[in-house]
Amino acid sequence: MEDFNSETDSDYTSYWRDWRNERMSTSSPCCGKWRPKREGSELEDHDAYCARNAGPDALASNGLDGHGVVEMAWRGIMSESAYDGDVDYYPDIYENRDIWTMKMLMAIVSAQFVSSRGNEYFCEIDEDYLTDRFNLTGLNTEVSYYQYALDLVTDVFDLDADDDLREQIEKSARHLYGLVHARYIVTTRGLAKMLEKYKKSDFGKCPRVMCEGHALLPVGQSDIPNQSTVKLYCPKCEDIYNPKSSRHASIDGAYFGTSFHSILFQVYPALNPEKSARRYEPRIYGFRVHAAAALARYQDGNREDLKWRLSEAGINHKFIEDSDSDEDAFEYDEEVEAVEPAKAERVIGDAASGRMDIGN
Amino acid sequence: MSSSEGAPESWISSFCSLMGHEFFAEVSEDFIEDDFNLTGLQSQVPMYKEALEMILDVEPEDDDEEEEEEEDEEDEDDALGDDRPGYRRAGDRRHARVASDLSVIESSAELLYGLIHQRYITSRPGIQQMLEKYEMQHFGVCPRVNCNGCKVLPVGRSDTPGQETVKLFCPGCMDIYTPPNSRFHSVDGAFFGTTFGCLFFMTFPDLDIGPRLDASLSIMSPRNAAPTQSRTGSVTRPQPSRQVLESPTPENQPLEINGVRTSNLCPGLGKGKIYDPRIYGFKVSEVSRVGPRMKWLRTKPKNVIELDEAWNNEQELLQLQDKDDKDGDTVMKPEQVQDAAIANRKKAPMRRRRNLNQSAPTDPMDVHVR
Repeated sequence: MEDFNSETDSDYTSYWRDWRNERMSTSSPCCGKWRPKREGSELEDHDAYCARNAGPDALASNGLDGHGVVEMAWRGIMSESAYDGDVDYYPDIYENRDIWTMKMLMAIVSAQFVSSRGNEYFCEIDEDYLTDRFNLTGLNTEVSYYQYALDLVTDVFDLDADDDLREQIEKSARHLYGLVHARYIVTTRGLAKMLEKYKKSDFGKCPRVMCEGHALLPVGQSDIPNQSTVKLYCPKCEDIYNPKSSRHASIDGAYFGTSFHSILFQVYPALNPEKSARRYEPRIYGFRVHAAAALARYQDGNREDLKWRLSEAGINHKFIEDSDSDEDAFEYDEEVEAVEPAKAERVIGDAASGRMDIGN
Repeated sequence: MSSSEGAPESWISSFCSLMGHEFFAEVSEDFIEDDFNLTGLQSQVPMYKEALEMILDVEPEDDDEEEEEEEDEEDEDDALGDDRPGYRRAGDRRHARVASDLSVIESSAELLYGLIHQRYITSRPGIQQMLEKYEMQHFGVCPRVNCNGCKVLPVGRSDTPGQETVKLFCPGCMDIYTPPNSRFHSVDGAFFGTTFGCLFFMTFPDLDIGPRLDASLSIMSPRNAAPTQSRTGSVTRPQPSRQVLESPTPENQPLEINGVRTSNLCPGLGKGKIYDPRIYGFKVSEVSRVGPRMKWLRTKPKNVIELDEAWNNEQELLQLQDKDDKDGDTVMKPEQVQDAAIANRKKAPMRRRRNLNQSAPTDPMDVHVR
């Protein structure tokens, strides 16, 4: 959450977050909640805002569009600055207009509506990456108003469009950003950025009890947009889960892609967590239940088969075994016994894997 | 705690309506009043008698006047007892002591209620009450994508209080999950117990535990579809009805396997329900350094008869007999022998395990329900 207030937040994310919040705020008739913050940061801005709110015609002309607020506020500042005769100040502001707008917005909303965010899963795409046309190959057919959307994402948008059109462009910009994001996060820099977020458990923790709250990674079930929402992949149990927050449940899975987590661990194999063979055993008054136990034995058999196949391929894979309780103790012995015949191969396998390790 | 509209709420219903106590069923007073159901709890709960009185909202007996006043004061503080101002005046001087006692009794009462609850939900009326809550989806759904929103049940991992918090048991994948809402992270798992989860599904074997939202959650649940549609409204295309490819099961599936209806045996597991990691559309090999290694956990035989271990054993014995007969008649060619040896070795770990498990002493913990 903290990184959401920080300046390192992506222009896109913060911009759209702010845009949303602007919308939310303007749709409520009272601006009381904003006032203290605004008064503290931007006095002129505050005046402009109040002036805007006071004039019903201004409201009507701007509708509830958040961008409109900014424009109005901006004009307010401009006119006021001009009015004050602060001539030196004027061109300076004008040049950095977009940055100013952004800063203003961030100052206004950064502390408010923190909990109503949904963009925690996204990382900031490098400006360089976004401006390289090669990286955007094929997206112009996927995104409507492609050029305007791209301008908006790269902060060079200066079209004086009406509200409907602007809203369309804003939607497209979000879509475009998501699609570029899916490509960006499998690049070296993107992986590094996502890795940082993964290490901080920004994507949440695995709900499975046996995974003991392992950090998750976002994943899509399809690379084509509008097919399915984002899911969360647990590297420990290698399964996918639905995000628990509904605000994340509406993010398109294609904005992360199907390959990202696999590539991440291919690039950083040392981070792959140890897999555990521990499982939940349903019991009734301490007695294991036959149906579940039989299935568990079948699955354990599959696990042994996998181990055997891996040892054939020269990989000695170890699972963290569950050997806590008394009942499991003899099960453990039995397992050792069961594995015995494969031991001869295992030794050869070990040697092979040793060679492989040296090779790496 | 009590409703302001006059009629005092019982301690039990007020306890169950507390934030975070949504999983609890209201234990009937008849159940608590039956001493048999409380066997052994006296040693586990401090201030047992007072706690029990608090749960049942009963006035203490009249023989000890002081105690009565004290108890009454507590009840009044708690706004649970009847409003009888006649008793109020006496309680005031002992107020400090009463307040501290009250918090102790209150926590004891919660513990006692939890332990009674653990027993109650495995009783006939209790499990019925939990069924109603289950069907109304009070306990939530499985977070696992391939379980398709299977309804879950609250369970504990220990029957001793104070060890672990409540978990959610999903019958679709036979696994337990942490409740998504943090307000349940302070509810003791022992108040539900280890037994309840499985007993519930054995009590109601005909309950359809299959996917609640068939394929709709796996694509985009209708709840989420709307905002996404509007968000990316510019590109509207018909939602492809990507029905989850149901694994073609052999025709002669038994209706019941190991005491569970075949359709209810882990519908969230098996072929088509296992997540398959891919890179640019290509499956990641399991011999890759970081390849998938946990798929076994979600496996289920295509033909569930494979789970009938007695049947398996018989088949294996028959095969062995056949082989013995053949060995007597014909001599195997050397390469055939080698092939057979490899095949045997491949199956060795699995078969060995099965054989071991089949012999009685290795698995005394299995309950075979037929």
